[in-house]
This record gives sequence, structure tokens and C-alpha cells, in this order.
Amino acid sequence: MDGSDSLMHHWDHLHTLLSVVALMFAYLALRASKKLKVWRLENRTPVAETQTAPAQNTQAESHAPDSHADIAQLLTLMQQHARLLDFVSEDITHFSDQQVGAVARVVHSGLQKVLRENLSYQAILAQPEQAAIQIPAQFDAQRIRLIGQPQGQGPYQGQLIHGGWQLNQVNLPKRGRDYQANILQPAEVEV
Amino acid sequence: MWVVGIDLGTTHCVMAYSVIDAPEADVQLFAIPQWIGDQQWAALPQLASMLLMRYPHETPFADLPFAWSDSSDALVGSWARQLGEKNPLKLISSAKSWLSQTTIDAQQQRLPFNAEDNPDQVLQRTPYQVTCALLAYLQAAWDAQFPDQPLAQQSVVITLPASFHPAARELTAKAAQSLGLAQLTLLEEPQAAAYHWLWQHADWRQQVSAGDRLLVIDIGGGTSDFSLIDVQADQGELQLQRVAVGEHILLGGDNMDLALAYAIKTQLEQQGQSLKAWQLQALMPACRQAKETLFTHADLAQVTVVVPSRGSSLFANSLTASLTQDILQRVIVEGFFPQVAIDDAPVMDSEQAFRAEGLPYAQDAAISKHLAAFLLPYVQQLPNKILLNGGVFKADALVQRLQLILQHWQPSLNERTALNEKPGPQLLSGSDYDLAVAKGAAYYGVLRATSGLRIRSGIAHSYYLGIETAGLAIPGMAPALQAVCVAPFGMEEGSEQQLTSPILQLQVGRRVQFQFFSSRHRQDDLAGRRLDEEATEALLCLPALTVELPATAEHPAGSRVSVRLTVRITEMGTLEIHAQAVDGSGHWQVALDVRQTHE
Repeated sequence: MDGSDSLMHHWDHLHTLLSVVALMFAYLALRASKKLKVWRLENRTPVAETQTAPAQNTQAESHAPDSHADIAQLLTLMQQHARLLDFVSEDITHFSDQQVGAVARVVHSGLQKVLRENLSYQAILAQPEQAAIQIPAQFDAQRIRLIGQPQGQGPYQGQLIHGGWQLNQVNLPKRGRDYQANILQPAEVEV
Repeated sequence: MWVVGIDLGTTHCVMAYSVIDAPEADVQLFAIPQWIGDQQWAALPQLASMLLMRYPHETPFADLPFAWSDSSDALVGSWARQLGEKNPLKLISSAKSWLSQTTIDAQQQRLPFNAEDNPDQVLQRTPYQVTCALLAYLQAAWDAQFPDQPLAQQSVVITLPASFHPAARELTAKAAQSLGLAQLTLLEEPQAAAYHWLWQHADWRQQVSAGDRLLVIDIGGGTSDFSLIDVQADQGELQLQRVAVGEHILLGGDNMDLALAYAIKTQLEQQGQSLKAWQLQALMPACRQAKETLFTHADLAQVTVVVPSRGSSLFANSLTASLTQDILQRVIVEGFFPQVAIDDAPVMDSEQAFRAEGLPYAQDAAISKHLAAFLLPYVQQLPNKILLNGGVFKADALVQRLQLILQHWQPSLNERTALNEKPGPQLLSGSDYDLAVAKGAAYYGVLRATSGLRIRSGIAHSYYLGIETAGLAIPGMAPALQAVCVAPFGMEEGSEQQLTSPILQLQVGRRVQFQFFSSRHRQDDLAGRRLDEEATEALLCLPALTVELPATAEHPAGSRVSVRLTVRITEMGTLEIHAQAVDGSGHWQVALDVRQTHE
């Protein structure tokens, strides 16, 4: 926590990579979020007549717009299972590669779990990287980016450098009625 | 109508279902909705069988999207498990093991059982109430998804360990009936695993043949369960007969992870680091993950195990240790599956002492010794096929070790028979190690409804009633007991047996206690057979049975009635005892009511 404001200047490559990954998926989740249903009180089947206080019909006041809630949710899961926010917020300049490596495994396995359970994504081109590949003349320039010096109208002979990634599905947990999107992890106090 | 299979596991519950009268069973998994984080809700294949209870002064838990009777006092499933790791005193886990304990009263004992240490007692439940709560949760989740097919109107198959004693079976049935699940059948878990295999292998008749003996090993999170199933030819058709079930062993995959956590703890302490309780707790999942990595990648020499600090810094105070293949081999392979001789019985003192107070966890961690004790009576014909179930067997190394052990146990033709000349057991390819039992239960429900192939089983133990011997009373000594067989081994579901003897004198309108016994070895005793004292002492003592025969007009309270007992195994699979007045003047049902007698 100490000096977290000054951290921006000390990010190393691993940090950058992880942050980019996280933000990319957060962004993708945001784009897909329009399809997501938010579980609301009115969707519930009637609760047994417990004769207690009348059901609160006031929807939880989200402190953030709904679209932010998807990002917050993904970040919450990444913090919960991979300690992503802790990791990225800490100045790791003075820790040894061995220490960073050990912690990176915690972050890696946690992120893997979160991505596997909540998103489905796959390579855009499934061929092994470095393989020779032919790109037809008509191709989707958003899905495939030609680099180097493409000649003429194609088809193009080339070498696959990076297979790309595409998001197929976002399947975030449903949010409870009292979900607060701005709480990424509650403070913990041992009493 | 549908059939719904429920694996009511010690650590996880799983549900599967199928339409009953389809030409082919189409077994589907029911994903169970649950909290997976604070205010986050998802449907998962498994539901952790744990209740996280709150303190009375704490805010009731958030509403669920369906009605569940315990929703304000308890959390269940994934989020309960995660919070429980941080609040172990609030967590009820392994309630099923408590349910099957013969030394406690499952309707009295309160869990979490050490909560009395706290001045502000956390809310508690009895093991029976936990069973009800878990079933009620599954029912509510089901009914919310299929409002037109409420669970109470479906045929429900609940699986239980083969080694569950009759009172624990009875309590499970009672819990289900209290929720209105009227069309209920109980099924042994290893049998469910076998049904799953049958379902997956339409060509099973090509994979086994008459004379084969199949060993089912089911290692769950907290228990190990063994069964033997024989393949027999009956008028040209293959039949399956369950011939033996093992003892109730409280030893499973979680013990392995805990043993690894302790090994790492020792390693760290030798380096001068001391572990706090929460760190040891956090070591378990870290070790499980490292174990799976090492088993999957045999070429890796070691895996780093990290327990990050609880604070926001991942580096300050993080624990780092190495789990090596050597430790894995020593603790898991040699600790739990040592190559022992078949007459190597489990011992009572163990190097790996990880006993928690309360439950009689197996003292000897060597699963192979428990297996040896189970198979010893069958040494003349050891199993030649094995079917494995449980997440533990995702590790090939353990599967191979088990095969090797069984191969060793095959009798040698002569002393110089080399191991590789002995026939090893053939592994029947299973799959779905975590979900097979629920799916197999659903498939069994379909077979039952369509009169398809069934594993013939009957009861897995013989049951005895203790009666006092007539003889000179010795002051200060309880009169010696003689056991009379009331339900013979293999007695089938839906059958009943009247005992011509003994004739008992029962007092009406008073609570009377009986001592019941069971044995899984005495398979030849017929109903009514009287055992001598020595044989009686070798039986397994079950919880005493309390009976109160209500007074009737003919038999006022305090009067004595001569009765004969009739024993019935219900279609559901529970044991029922009826008492009939010899002169026909009355009829009473003797409830299998487990009450602790001493104390």
C-alpha cells in the first residue's frame, strides 16, 4: 500500500503485461455486457412467508453505472482468485526475480481460473505460430493485421506471427441485489 | 416424470437427472446455483456440502433467488467454503460423517461442534438438520429451475456410502421425506459408480464376462468406500451381484492435501519459520494444486508453493516452499498407497497424525492397508477388474500404484513366480470422477423404472439383536448378551421375514432399549440364528435402539406383551422392524431411532 501513488513509474514488463491482459478482458466484458442479465429482486421466486420486514423493493443503488459493474465484477474475481490488484499496486522493483516469479505463479493460476470460468476465448487463427499461411485477398482487416510489406491485392503468403485472440462468450456470475460495484475487495479486520 | 440422482457427498453434492421413460437414458447434469463470492451468483456442477453459520447478533445472510428455509442463518456452497477457510469456527463441514457416527446422536449433537468454546455461540445445527438443509437447498434450486417438475413429484435416488449403518440410512430417508420427497430410493455410492460405467459402456457385456470379480474403489474428499461386484451368468444373460462392501473409512482426498500441508509446514519450521493457523489452512489448497501439477507433469522436479500474506502486499510475509516429487512420493504414494502384503492390517498408531477432535478419522492413512483388510476374506478369488471413482484418481501415478498393489496380491503359483507373470487387474475405463455417482444414480433410477439390468445386492450386512442370556446374575456385571440374527446378509429390498424366535416380552407405554449389532463377514447366518457370547463380541455394536410401544385399549401402559419381530427391507432400502403380539392383539412399528444411551 505504501507509496502506491508513485508506482506508475516502476512497472516492469510483467506488470504491464498482466495489466494489459486484465484491462483487455475488462474492456471486452464491457462490450459484451449488453447481453448480460442482472439478477434483480423481481426475478426471484416468492420467498416463503417469513412475516418479517416487508421485502425491500428498493433496488440497490449502484454507485457506478451498470456497464462499469461488469468491469468491477471481473476485477473483483481477479482480485479474489489471483490477487491482481494487490500485485499490480505493489512496487516490485526491489524484489528478486525469484520472489516475483513465485508470486507470479499465484497470479497466473488465479487469472487462468477466472478467465476459464467466466469467459470463453480462442485464437483467431489456430495454426501454429511461425507456420506458413495464406491469407485470401478478401480478409477482415480487424481480425487479421498484415505486417511487413504486403504486395498487390493478395492472396498473401506469409508467416503467422501471433494467432490473435477473440472473445466468444462472457459468462460472468449474476449479481446479487445488494451488489456494490465499487467494492473490489472489502477491507478485512480481524477481531 | 423424471428421475433425479443426488450424490449427497461428504464434501460436495452433485445432481443429475433423466427423463424416466425415454427409450435411452439421457442423463444430464443439473448445475447448482450458489453464491460464489460476495453478492455473486453462479451455477456450478458441484455444491460444497458446507454450511457457514452466522453469530446470532450478525446480520442475516442475503436473500437467495429462491426460498430456502435456512437462508438467513446459513450460507452453503462455494462462498461458504471460501469464507469458511477464514472463519473455521463458523463452518460446518463433513456433517455426513457425523451422521454416520455410531457414538453420537445425529439428532442431538450440535455443529460446529467446538462452538461451545466461544462465549457468543455461533448458530448451530445437528448433523440431521444439516442433511435436511442441504437437501432442501437442492430441492429449492431444482424447483426454481423446473417449476413444472417439482422435485417432490419426481423419482429421487439418493446415494449413500455402502458402509452407512442402518440408522444413518434411516435418517437420510427421513430428511428426504420431511421435504416431501416421497418417491425415494437409496443407492450405495460404489454401485452408483458402477451404474455410471454401465451407462457409458453400452458394450459392457464385451468388457466383462461371467466369473469376473469387479472391485469398485470410491475415494471421495473425506471417505473411502470399497465394494465387490461379481459378474455371473444366468440363463445366458450376464448378471451383476454385489457381494461385499467395506467398512466406513474416514479417509479421503482431503487427508492427502492436509498431509502435504503438514509436510510443507515441517519443512518451513526446520528453516526457522513458524506458521499461523490461517497459513496452514491456506497451504491445503496450494498443496492440492501443486500436487496435481506434479502428478500431471512427472518430469517436473518440484513446484513452488506460495501462501501469500493476508495483507495487500503479496511479498511481505508471504510463505514460499517447494513441493518436490520426493515429498509427493513419500507422503502421498507411500503414505497412502504403500505396497503392503494382503495380510497387512491397518494399524492404530500412525506417523501421520492428523486427527481432528470429534470424528474417528482413520488412524492408519494407508488406504492400501484398508483395502487389504477388505479383500483378505476374498483372497481365494481376488478381483480381476477394477473401477475407480473420485477426484484422487485423476493422478495416473496413483492408479498405476493401485494396480501394482493388486497384482502383488494375486497368489503366486510358486515362490519363484515373478511379479510380471502374475495377472494384474484390468482397469475399466471410468471418467467423470467427480460427477459419476450422481449420474449413475440417475441412470439407476431409469433402469429401475424400466426394469432394466440391476446390480443384485440386498443388504450388505447381517443384523443382530442382543438379548440377555438367562443365567445367574452377577452383582455389578451387566448380564451377558447373546446376538440373534434378525436380518440375514443379502436380504433383498421389498422382502420381509418373520422371526419365529425370539419371543420378546415388551412393556407397553415405556421406553425400552435394544442393542443392535451388525457384521459384514457373517454372510451365512440365517434369520433367527443365535450366536454365542464369543461370536457376539466380534460383531460391530450399533447404536442402541429405543422403542416405545404406545399403549392401546387392550394393552394399557405398563402391561407386558409377548411379541414376535418382523424385519422388512423397504423398497427404499431402509430397515424396518415390526413387533406383533403373539396372540394377534396388537401391532407396533419399532422405529430405528438412534439415541445415545450412555451419558
